[in-house]
Amino acid sequence: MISQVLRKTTGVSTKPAALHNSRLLNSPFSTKSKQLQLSLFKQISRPQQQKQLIKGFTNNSIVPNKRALSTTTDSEAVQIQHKLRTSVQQLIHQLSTKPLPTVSLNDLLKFQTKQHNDKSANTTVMLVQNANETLNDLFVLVGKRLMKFAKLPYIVMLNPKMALIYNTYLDTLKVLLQFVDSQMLAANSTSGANVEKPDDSILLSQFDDCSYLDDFKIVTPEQNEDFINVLNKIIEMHTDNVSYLSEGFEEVNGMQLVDEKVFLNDHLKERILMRLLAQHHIKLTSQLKELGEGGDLGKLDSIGIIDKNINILDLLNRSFQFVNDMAALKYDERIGMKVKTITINPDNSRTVQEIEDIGKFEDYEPIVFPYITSHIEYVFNEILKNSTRAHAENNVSEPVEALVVVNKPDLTSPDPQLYKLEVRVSDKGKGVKPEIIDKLFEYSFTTFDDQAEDDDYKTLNSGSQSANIIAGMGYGLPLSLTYNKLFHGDIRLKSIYGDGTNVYLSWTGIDAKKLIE
Amino acid sequence: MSSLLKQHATQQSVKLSEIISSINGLSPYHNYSKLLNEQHFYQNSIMLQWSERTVHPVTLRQLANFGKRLTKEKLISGANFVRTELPTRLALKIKELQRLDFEISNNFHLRQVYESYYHCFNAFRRTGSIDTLDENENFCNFLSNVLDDHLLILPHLMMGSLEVSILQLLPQQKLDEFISSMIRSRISRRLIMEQHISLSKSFLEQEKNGGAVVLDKSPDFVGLVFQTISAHDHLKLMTSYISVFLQTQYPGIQLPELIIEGKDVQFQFMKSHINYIFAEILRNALKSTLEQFVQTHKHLTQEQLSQIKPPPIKVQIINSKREVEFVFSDQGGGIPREKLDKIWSFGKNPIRAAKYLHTFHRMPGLDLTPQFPILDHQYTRHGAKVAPAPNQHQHDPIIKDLMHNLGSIDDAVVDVEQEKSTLKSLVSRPFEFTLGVSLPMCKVYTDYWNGDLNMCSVEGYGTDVYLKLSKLGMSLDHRAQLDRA
Repeated sequence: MISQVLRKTTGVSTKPAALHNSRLLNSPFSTKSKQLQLSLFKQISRPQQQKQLIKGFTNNSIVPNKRALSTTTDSEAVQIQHKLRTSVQQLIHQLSTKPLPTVSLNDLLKFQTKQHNDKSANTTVMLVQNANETLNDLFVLVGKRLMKFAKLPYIVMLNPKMALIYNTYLDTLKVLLQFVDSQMLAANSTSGANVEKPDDSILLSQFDDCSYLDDFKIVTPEQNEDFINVLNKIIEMHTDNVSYLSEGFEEVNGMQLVDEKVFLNDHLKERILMRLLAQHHIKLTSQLKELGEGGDLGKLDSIGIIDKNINILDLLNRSFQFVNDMAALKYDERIGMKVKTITINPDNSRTVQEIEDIGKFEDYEPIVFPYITSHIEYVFNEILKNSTRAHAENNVSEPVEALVVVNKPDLTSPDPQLYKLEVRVSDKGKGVKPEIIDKLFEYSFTTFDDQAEDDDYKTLNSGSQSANIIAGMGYGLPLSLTYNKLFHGDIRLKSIYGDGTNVYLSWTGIDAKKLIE
Repeated sequence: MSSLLKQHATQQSVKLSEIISSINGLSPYHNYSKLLNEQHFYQNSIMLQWSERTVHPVTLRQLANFGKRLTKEKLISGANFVRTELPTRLALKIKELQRLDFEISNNFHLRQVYESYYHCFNAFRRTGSIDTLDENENFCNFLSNVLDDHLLILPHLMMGSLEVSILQLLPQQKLDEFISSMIRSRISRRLIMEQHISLSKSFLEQEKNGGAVVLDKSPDFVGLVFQTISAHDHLKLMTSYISVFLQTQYPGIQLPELIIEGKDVQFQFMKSHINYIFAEILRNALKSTLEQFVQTHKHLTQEQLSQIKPPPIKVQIINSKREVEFVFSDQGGGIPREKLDKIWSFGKNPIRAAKYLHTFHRMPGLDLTPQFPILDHQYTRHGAKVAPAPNQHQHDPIIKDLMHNLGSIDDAVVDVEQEKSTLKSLVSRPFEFTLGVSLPMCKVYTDYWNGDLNMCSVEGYGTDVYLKLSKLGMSLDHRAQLDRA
């Protein structure tokens, strides 16, 4: 079936095609998957200790009190092994008990506000501080994920897909620790600290004390650059793992050992947070670099991942075209979309626009809503996929309709001025069966019929990285809801079977005053 | 490497890079393992099917009756019973391990238990049906190998449970239930296997003697794996072994006497089990008496000390129709109440667990390299890999000794010489190897045979241990359900 429209993982990435071909990797028995596994997750197991058996301890006769204990090498080695594996587990335990980072949109903006408030604020200093916060947050997020996985039943984790995801998080922890290690080491050697012989790592005083993590701080822009590399690597490592996770759960659900919904809600939310924080810092760094020291952040189009000048119509159009292209491949039809926009002005008057064809959005006034582009895009994609599919499958010729309501903030008011966006997407695609309505926001539930595939789509699909299956993974709606709820938005759905469906999307944005303060 | 270890030894410190390279050890898959890989999950459905089969509980009556009139047909059918019963029971345990939290079952030690059991399961389910006496003989060799290979399971279970305690991955009660259940099932499985091996041996001897089976016809005969135990004899024997050893620890001091009150009782029991239980109790009693004795007479010289006799160990035997009860009383100074409450538990608080684990790690010849010899000992029908006869098992003597250090409760003792050596090793375990598990283990074994083990203490004075054993022969009339799958 050609409507294997691209499955989107969070974030709009443009990865090279060669790296992750999910089809190939799906087979557990393929050598390629093994190779990929091996290269991604080199399992460095601790070298087996030498078996030094005691000579002369072979008889059963009673030996007096000075019975030979094993040599220092032997038993110490065993103890070290034990200590090491225990310390890793204890580290993870400790990280996971720290509180989840609370991120609000206004927090993300604080760079600009700070700079405005205090002209002497040094952006380098702020950047480095943000780096440390991001590092800390990432450690906590990785720790929490690892802990959650560790509590799943053993047999569930033996599933290759689940193991893959878990290994990715293990590697993430590794990458972060290696960063800390190498930075601490560099700092030590430059400071000329007491290093008797050239060491290859930092010596920790205690196995179970991870305060070294709290003490470590990024200080210089060069360290920040190294950190950026680490962040990029981490983002790359995690790009495809939602699809693996969904496959994994498909395979383990039969055993009924895991509450999928609870696990995935937390997992996907924390995953979004991880990517968000990492991308935010990466973008901030490059934005500030371009601006140069002392530059005015107010001139930038974006502060980190917050894009100040998003035009909702633009996003709607992009999503719609994207989704329509896929639909055209399968259904050989193009669906239309018309939009009505309402802008609530500071004086409470309304400005209305009727746009017959979203493709012509540029002729109209933009609908400005500062936010994280990729989050809105993902939700639009998912909702419009459903609507377009409904129209196409039921041969509905009318266009899909969208109602967009946004407020224009009053910058003269002393109170905070939160942006708010409401979008109602209405389709006439004959609606959703009553018995299915409750399941729509479940994971792994889909009305997409996998069986009727034919081979054509496969060739189309095996191309670029974003060649994911659009419909059918069943994550679209619940994941969209997670996105919106992250910053106090929401999604509601109402369907009239036989007629059509309305989806109500709402977002709470930033305080507009923060942009000009 | 060794310089690094010296560094560790002195500084108790570690490099961050070492922690980093240990991270991947938390992964589910391991290079050394032939089982823990990507295919395992998909191949698991077979095991799940087996775990759904009915388990056939083995009652004492069956054991006894089986031995009474042995025919070739009976033997062969017994072999096939073992052949299918064992994988069913193993599957249950494997499934239990699979349902535990990943961080628990993936523990370095526990996953070796898992893998051992899985390989064993596979080995059993691949055995074809047994139809001739020759095939039965091969099968018995196979069973002996299995019994031997799995001697390592106990230390791994113990060390695993200590590591789990240190990391506090399971509440103490759950850990106790888990370990106890594993050990109980283990006893059952081994019993079934040993019973079959003994029966096959007897049958062959019978054939050789060209006559009918000459088995014990006494009314309370319960089966070949059980022997008649004389309480007095055994108590005296164990004490003498222990004393010989103790004398070397405390030269120049008189040893506590053993005073037995009550007439001798003869009862049916599994010799190796009773050895273990008596040994542990008596060791504790004797050891604490001596320690207390030395403590309270610190002011005396060695010379003066050697003149005084330490207080005796008293054992009361109370006999009744269906049970026999032993009360061991010592004057070893008693045990504090808080310690007493936790004394039966496998789960320890993290600090104590770390201490015990440390002791394990210091055991001579401890080799924790994952090994699964069963992979080489598969049973095949025709010209089976000839396994060495059970007695000559080329198990590394040190590993065998390690087992004896734990208490080689599992050897179905066959001959007098072996029994002696087993006993000697049992009692001569140096005191510094306090593993913290001997009492909980005794309790599991006692419970298994529907007995009871309890302890009361008078702090500052001494301890009383109450050991109650059911007379197995007497419970034939009742459906003594002793089997825990």
